[in-house]
Amino acid sequence: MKTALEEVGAAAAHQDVATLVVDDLRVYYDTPEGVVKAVDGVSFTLKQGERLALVGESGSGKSTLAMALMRLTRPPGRIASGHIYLSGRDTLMLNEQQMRRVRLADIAMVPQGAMNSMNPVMRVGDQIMDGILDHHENGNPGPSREDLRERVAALLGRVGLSPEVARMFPHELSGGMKQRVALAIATSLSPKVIVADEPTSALDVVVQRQIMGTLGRLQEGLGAAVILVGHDMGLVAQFADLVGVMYAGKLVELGPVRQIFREPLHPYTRLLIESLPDLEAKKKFVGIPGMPPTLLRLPPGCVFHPRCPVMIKGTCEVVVPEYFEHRKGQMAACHLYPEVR
Amino acid sequence: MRRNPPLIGGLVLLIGLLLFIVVGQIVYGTEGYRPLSAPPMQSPTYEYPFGTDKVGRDILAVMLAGTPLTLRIGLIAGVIGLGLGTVLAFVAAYYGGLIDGAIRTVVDVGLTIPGLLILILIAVNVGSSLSVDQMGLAVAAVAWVYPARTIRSQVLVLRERPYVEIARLSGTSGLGIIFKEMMPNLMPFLLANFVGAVSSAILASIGLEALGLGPFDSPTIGMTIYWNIHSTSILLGMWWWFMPPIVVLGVVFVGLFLVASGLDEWSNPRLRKRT
Amino acid sequence: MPPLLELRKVTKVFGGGYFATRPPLTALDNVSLSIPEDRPSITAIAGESGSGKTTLARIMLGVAGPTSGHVFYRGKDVSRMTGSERRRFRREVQPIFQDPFESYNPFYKVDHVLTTPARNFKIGRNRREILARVEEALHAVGLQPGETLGRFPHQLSGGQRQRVMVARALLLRPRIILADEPVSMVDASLRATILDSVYKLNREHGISILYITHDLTTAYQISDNIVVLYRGSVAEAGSVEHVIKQPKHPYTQLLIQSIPRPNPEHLWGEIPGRGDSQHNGAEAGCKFADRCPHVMTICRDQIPGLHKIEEHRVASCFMYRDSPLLADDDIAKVFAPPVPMATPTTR
Repeated sequence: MKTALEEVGAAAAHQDVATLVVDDLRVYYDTPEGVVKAVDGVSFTLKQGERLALVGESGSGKSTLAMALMRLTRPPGRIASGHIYLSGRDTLMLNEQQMRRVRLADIAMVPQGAMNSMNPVMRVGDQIMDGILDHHENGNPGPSREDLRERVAALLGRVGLSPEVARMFPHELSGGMKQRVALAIATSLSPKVIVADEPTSALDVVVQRQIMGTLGRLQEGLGAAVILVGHDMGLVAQFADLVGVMYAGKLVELGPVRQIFREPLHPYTRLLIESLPDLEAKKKFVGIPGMPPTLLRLPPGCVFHPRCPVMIKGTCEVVVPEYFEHRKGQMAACHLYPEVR
Repeated sequence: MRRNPPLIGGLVLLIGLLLFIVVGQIVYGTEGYRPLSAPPMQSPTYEYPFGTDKVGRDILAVMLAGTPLTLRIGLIAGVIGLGLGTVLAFVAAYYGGLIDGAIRTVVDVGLTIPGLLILILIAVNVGSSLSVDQMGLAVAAVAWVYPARTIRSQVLVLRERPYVEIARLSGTSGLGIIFKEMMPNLMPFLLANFVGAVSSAILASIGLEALGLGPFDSPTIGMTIYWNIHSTSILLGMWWWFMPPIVVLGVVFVGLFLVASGLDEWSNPRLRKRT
Repeated sequence: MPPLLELRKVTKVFGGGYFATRPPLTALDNVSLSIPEDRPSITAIAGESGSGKTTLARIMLGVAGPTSGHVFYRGKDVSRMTGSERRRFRREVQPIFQDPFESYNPFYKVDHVLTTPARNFKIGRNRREILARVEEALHAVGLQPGETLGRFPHQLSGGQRQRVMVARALLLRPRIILADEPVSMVDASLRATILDSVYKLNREHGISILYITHDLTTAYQISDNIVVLYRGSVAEAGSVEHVIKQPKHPYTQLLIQSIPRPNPEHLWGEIPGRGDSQHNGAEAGCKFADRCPHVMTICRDQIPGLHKIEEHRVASCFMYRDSPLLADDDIAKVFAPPVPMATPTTR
């Protein structure tokens, strides 16, 4: 029998709270040769506890998007327009001081190559403490050394490392252990959104699987949402609930992972999935002809049309396709699908 | 590459100075650099735009005659010093082993000994005062050490690049790799080092000359400074005598520094991959 | 006929010696492998970091020498070759490296990487002939000389650069090509074309390929046979259909199970055995013992030999100690012949 309080709590937990809403985000780079539209009008919604995978190849804009979500875009890049609503608050409206408090506490990132970017002369435990201490500067006395040590030990335990690791230096750890430390740092303040940019790209396949398992357990424990940025469709299939496919700065398709793999809407997604080698049987080598476009001079109309095998002459090279829901829960931007509302 | 303000700025300064000298030598003439060419201790007049010094040298003529001499010392020392340093650096880095060990030891020891000290020893031991060219050679003997070290480090890095390995596997010989694969990529770095070497060489020569160990009969900038010190020109208020060498030196050093800075910027891999 | 390339009991140890500060690292431990002359096929050398596959590749290329053991090319010991024999070895064993950007000297156009070996090895008698051969090689990998030559490396995509590298390898008409992770730094959509050209190098031009990788999926797709390395020793080897589809060595099983399948219906299960190995090479017995879910007492005391479980498979594991040991450790004996190209792979 549940008490009234427990019932209310349970209801709140199951509420589909939109943790992150990205609305028409544009991130441009000002280069001497012109404006590079690295992210050009990307929108998506992420609910609590959801796992979104953002896939794309080089030049798709996925890493730029990840940095923009943390508002870590550096010049010559700039967030040109759009909104990023984190728990209802538009983080693009915050000043830098406020944003610093949001980073790590509400949204945290495991950047690409995190395991190789740790301070080599600082012990691992101190590096974890750094982030925690930094968020305590607002007049509060802050936690004691003992408290901090316990917290660090708990954080390390949560990612499957023993407390002794806190006294070690990064170079004494293996690749997998370092990545776990990066995860511990990122989740040290229990953020609501974790952005992981290629978290396992330098790791062996067995370690990769363990790290993804750790990430999944962490995320479930925190009730957080995860954005996994990468290009490995295998990882995506194993880990994600939602998949967003990026191409040349645009989100060309978004949908539940099973639907995307079974019935992709966008030709690029379809070609991408078809080109994946698998272990079922040997088959012909199928790639996508052509090259990804240079972001300085995007093709007119649909950005994918020069490489699209089912391009509709007269439409695709002229008109930019609209991005909306063609099937329940699945969004795509493609002229193949007439406007179905 | 047009967008390299330091490089442009530096070149403008240096070329401007050279033009001044060339035009000046043609228009004004340089005979007045010798003592007793003009009435001494004159502040600048129309006839002597830079005035005269204590023993009757026409200071404008001194600057026009002397600046090229100082630059020549810098060039001789820079070219020989860098050339020697580059050769030794490549040999050490590419062939490794004992050769590398030997060269590296000499370089590391050499770096700990103050160059000026060695120069003073050389100058004192030559007996009669050094000529301009002899000074150039003396400074070169000291100037090769630092470039040898920095260039060696760069070559060590380049040696491990995959494209060097591929060139080796494509049948290119050791010397071929040095000249065809590595050298072109080091050009901006070598140039920057060259400019730096010229700069330090000039400074070293001025140091020697200011101590009174330079070519007494030449109107080099360093000798002019020596005479300034010797005659306490500052106390005498003869600003037209101590300002010109300082200004010229300033132009030379700032110009060289800007050029080196610009070259350094160019040699940085900003032209990296953009997939 | 002697094998084309043969490694006999090759061991490579790094570090150690009198002035060493760290314990020596055995990168390769008594590995024997041969590539036959008559049946050019594609062999994958698979392993994770620390397996020794890169060291193996370097020794095969002649870039590094073994600490003990011998490398023979066409019957001749590589360390004792004459100048002209060495040149021949140099020409006939060619690499394709992993990094499509660093393989190019940024000072030169991409032509340089093709013309340099062409000139050094005298591919043609004059410039016109060399150019003709270069263009021929570019066509063979699906590139247009007009769009490729005369460009700088940063003006081409990673996929194109890598294909130029394949063309370079083809140009020299080598006998063996060592492809070290040729597609791992290339976008997924561009990989297929590169793999296709490497595949054709073997099937159409009769060049033996050694495909060195950690990616078992592409290894399966392109290779006929596979050698799985674990910390410097051969764990399992044989035809790729056997080893990948039905792995017998616990390490191979662990690897295959850990591969994320691009199929949301087929999810990862639990991992058998432990993850990171805590040992550093000083232990006795099988190197996989501390992670093996089937470990037995004998595994910790003795090193397993290569047991021939089937006609086209060996595994170094005591679970199969009832199978006979492979004579001479010559792994090539269990390699399956290549399946000829049934259908053309071009459109």
